[in-house]
Amino acid sequence: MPTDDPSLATPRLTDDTAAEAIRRACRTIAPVWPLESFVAVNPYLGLVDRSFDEAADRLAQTIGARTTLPPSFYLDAVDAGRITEADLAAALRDREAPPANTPAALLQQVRDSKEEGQAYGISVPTVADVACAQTGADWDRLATDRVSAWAAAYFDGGQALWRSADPAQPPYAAWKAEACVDRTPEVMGLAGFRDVVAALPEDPLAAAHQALARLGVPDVALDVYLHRVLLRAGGWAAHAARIVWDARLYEDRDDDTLRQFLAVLLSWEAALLETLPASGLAAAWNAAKEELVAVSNAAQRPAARERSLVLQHAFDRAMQRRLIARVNARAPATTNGQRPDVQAVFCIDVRSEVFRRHLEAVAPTVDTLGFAGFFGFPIEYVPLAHETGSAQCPVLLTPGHTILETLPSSAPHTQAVERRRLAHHVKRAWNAFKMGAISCFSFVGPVGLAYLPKMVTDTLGWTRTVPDPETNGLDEAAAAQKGPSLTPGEHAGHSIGMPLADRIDVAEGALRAMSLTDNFAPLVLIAGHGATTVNNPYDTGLDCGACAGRTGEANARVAAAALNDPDVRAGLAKRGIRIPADTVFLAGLHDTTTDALTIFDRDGAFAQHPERLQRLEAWLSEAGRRTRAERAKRFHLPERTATDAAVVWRSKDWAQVRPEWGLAGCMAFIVAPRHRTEGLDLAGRSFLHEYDWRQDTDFSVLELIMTAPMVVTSWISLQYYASTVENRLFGSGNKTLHNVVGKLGIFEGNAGDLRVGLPWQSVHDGKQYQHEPLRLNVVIEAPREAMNDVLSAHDDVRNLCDNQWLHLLAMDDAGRITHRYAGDLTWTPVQDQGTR
Amino acid sequence: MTLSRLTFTQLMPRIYTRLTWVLCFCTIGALVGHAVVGIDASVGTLLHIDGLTLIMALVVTFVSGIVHSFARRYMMGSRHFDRFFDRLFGLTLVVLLLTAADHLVLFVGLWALMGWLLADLIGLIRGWPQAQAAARRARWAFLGGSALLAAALAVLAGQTGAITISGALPRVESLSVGALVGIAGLLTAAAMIQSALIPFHGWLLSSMTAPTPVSAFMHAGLVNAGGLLLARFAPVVAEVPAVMLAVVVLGAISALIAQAWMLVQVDVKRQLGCSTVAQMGFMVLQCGLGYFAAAIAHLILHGFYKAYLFLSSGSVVVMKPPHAETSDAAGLPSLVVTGITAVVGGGVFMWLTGKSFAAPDGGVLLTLVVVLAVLHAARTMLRTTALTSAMRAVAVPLVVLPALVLYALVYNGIAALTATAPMAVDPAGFSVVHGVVGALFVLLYLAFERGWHRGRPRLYTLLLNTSQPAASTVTTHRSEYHAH
Repeated sequence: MPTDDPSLATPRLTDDTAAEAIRRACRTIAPVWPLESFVAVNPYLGLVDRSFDEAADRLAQTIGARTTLPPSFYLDAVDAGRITEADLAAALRDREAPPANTPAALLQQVRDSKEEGQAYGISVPTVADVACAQTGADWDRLATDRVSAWAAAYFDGGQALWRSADPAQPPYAAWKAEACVDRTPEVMGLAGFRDVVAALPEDPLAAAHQALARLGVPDVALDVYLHRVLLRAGGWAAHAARIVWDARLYEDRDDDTLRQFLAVLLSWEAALLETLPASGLAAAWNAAKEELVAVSNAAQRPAARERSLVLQHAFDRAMQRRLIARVNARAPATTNGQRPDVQAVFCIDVRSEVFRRHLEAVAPTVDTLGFAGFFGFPIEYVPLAHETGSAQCPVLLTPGHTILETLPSSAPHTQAVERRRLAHHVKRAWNAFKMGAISCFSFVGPVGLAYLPKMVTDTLGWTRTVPDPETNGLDEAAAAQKGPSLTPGEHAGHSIGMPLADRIDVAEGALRAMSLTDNFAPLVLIAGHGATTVNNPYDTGLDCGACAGRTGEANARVAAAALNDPDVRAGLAKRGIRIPADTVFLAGLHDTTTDALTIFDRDGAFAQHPERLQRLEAWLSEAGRRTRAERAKRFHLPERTATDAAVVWRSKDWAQVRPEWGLAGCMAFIVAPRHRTEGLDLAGRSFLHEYDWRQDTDFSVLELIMTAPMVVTSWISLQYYASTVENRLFGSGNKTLHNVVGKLGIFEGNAGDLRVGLPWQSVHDGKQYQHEPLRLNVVIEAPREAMNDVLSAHDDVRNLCDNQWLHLLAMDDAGRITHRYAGDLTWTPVQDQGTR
Repeated sequence: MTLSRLTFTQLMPRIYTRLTWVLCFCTIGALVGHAVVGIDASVGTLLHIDGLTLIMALVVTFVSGIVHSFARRYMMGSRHFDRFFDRLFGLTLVVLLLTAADHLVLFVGLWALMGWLLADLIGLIRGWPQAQAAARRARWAFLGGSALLAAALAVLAGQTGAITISGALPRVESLSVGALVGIAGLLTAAAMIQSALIPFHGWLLSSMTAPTPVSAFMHAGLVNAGGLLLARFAPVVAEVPAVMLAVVVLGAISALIAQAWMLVQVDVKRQLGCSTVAQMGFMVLQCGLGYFAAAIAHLILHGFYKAYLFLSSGSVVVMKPPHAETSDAAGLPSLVVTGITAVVGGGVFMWLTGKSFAAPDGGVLLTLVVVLAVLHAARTMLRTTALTSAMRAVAVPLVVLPALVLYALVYNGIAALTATAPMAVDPAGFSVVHGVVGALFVLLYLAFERGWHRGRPRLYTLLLNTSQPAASTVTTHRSEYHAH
């Protein structure tokens, strides 16, 4: 009998237990950013405090998610010799209870089991599941559908012309108000549903407690149960989690949107139990609670999943082995210490690696460096004529300064602002005709006529579906002249600009963090990056993640302006960083779709180094051409195609679902001076961060790198990982079926839950994966003790390493990868250190 | 084997695309020829090519050409690539033939085939249960529509003894009122299903399981077939005034309700879907008023409009616009300008489209809608604070009047081109029903303009709930999502 079990005998939990469990459950949900600034996020974020394998168990139980590809993928890799027997043996050795004694036996088991990629059965029951089994009707579908439909309307970011709920109203209250008038559940057979909802407490937490008490979920099962309930509408829960994230980051506030959302889901569960006219439901639910307890206590992992995990570990190991071999086989390189012609700083992004490699090849006197694409200048950028802007820095940081986009002189500035506002108003009026309740009947005629030629010109790539937001409403001169202004002042009630003292502080921090403190070249190019695509909801996902889904143009220009400021240089000199008088900083933007590199504000540099600058521009254009040629191979373009034109065409094509490959394929993050990897073809699969630990006396830069860029790159890698292995649950599905909802996210098809993650087209080209599931290999050239110190000081970073969410590798003073982090602050030598 | 398959994948869609464009250019040539010579062509009893055929064919081949070209990149890498193009091109041919079909059996056959192919495209993704459910729903709807059409044409053939449309229509006047009402009723129902009018809108609002290019072609080309049907059989439908009044009411219901639905939608494709239902309702309303040429003009322009909005639906996420405050403080002079522009606009429209001022008919309703639209446009413009008040006053007529002239020109052009088609019936006189419908349009306009709908959660929930796709076509269980 259930009552024999002590955990079931005390179904009335204390409020504290429940409140704590609710907070814990909400922390397991990773946020998802809206499409307007779609930055990468680790979809397993809330689970990194457990090991990769344990998280696999939890996700299989709660939503039936796979965390590995189907076995056939790994078997193919074995057959192709990419995974060797040694890799499999090593992966087996690491298991506590190996599923097989030998690699051959393991492979035989996998081939025999014929287990191929199906979802795992969800093993955490809810009332809705039990009700489905009892009545044969799909109550789970009804509950999910109702909550999703309400959430879409509540969180709408401006699509609906009539928005019912007051956005200022908290979610639970809004849901309660709506559910009190929605007859659908009653029509479907839940008698008195509205009355039950009306009688719920006003306070969301009280409602959650009441629901949990009525459901009688045993304490021990609270975690899995709440996780399961949240994942019922996991996409909208992730959206709520992002609101919580922003509140904590920008306002230092503990927002309860997600907890309220959970209260809604729990109220549904309790109301279902109360209103479903099915005899035996209560008994069946009581029985299910035993199941809940059993699942919570279960330690046994099904053999198929265990085998899949072994295969994944072996695949990780195999690819890591190759990386180590390639890096270690490289001839030893050092810097010659001579002053380079040009230093070019790029984002750490994997796409920069290709461009940098080609630039170095065409211009041996150019040194390139890698640094997070906001270049250490965390700003909020307000575009011309806008009142407010958005943060342009990694979403782990808050912007320090608000920078206004302006025109250099006042009269044209005012004129441009007016013109842009006017353009916006005209656009709004046009939309109002288009969508107006009655006017649309008459205006569909003229508007339709206007679209007739536009359909042709868009198809030919002569026009864009919507104007480029960068230049929208501006004439050519204004668009060319606009740029960030550092001058302190006030705008729309906020202080803007960057005072001198701050400029010096930020500039010093940035230069030290990129290990660029002496031997400055005459020209230092700071190149942010951004993508150019048309009609692509995931546009911002291709922009710079370190600039929160914007292009890095503003950050690069602010950095260059600050570093060219003579007063800043005087201040820097006092702090030991002497920038020669003939050094000029130049800002640029690397277009990752076309590989064109635009240089801004070139006049200052041209006055000082005219020939050098022209030479640089020629090199950049040749490097761009070579980068496009390399990229074209990844697109499988037919032979005899003019590859240059074909690549550029993708940036203008409104029908293009794969304008570029973004960060697909990323598998390594190398933190070392560039000469350690220079000349090595890393195939656009490696993030590169400049770092010289010898300059980092207190290892504060190492701490910064391991707590910020390393975390962010692991987020990117895990986002790609999850979207590849389980696109149904952690990816956003097929782009050709996408339906933008609320201007913030994606429905696939008619409706349903919000989709998270990357579309299928971002990881697969139709023939094969363009991203293979690998955990990031972070290679750092630094003393291992120093890395251990950072790990011990930061639990969240240590979790990533200890729990195998990434692989940490140490590079020695000779540039060879010698040790692998083995958890618990211990390191083991890598077997194959390569031979010279 | 891989190589030959690859070659095929590249080759057939390219051939289909080129063929579609060739068909489009041929149609343009034929249309010009027809406009100059003004003679219809026939192929036995099977086909009869008139101005209506050519106009509809032009729209179908143009939109299909755009969709073909678009999809060659958009669908690249899809497992359903070949199947998609086979059906898309097949559907294009079927609709093309349908616009010219004269033989009654051929017409019904093509109608049924069109529905079948369209349903198949809605369910293009075989491994996705919700797409299959949406396809089933559409297939049943189209089967029903085809059955109604077959019944209507069987009665028509039986009563007139003719087996072609061109043969049957001249004898319509001799039919009994009962037979006419029966045939017209069946035809109207079939057209309503095809054009997704309420209460047959379910299949359309559940059809977003189709890839975007399918939706574009569906909303621009295939829902139009309902309008084509009514226009083709205009003499039958227009013969009994009561039937025409019923058509007006049915069209108005869809126009008004679907327009209200549109206001509450949060996802772009369903918003476009609701808008299609509303626009088709308005188109049918125009048919009911006897303005068949206006209806055809409406559905053609709506086709371009909707095809574009679907294909560009990935562009709705844009950077936040600059803050823009609007003021309601429109002074007396601008109010005067608004009023004058609205009345002048209506007058210009009536004059350009040859509507009589002396003997008002149902066309007054259309003029009323134009006046409301101009009012709306003018009021929006006047609230635009970025403009100086002088600019605002000038801007209204400057923008609105050319738009009206353009629209009227298209309308007149289509009326002229379809002059040989037997759809030029006399507009019905103005009646109480027309008055009520007009009042409802004014009411909806005022309600939205004055914000009467706000603070009515019951109405909101009702609108949202009645415009949901069928539950079986919504992917609520995340594990059911197919990956690609």
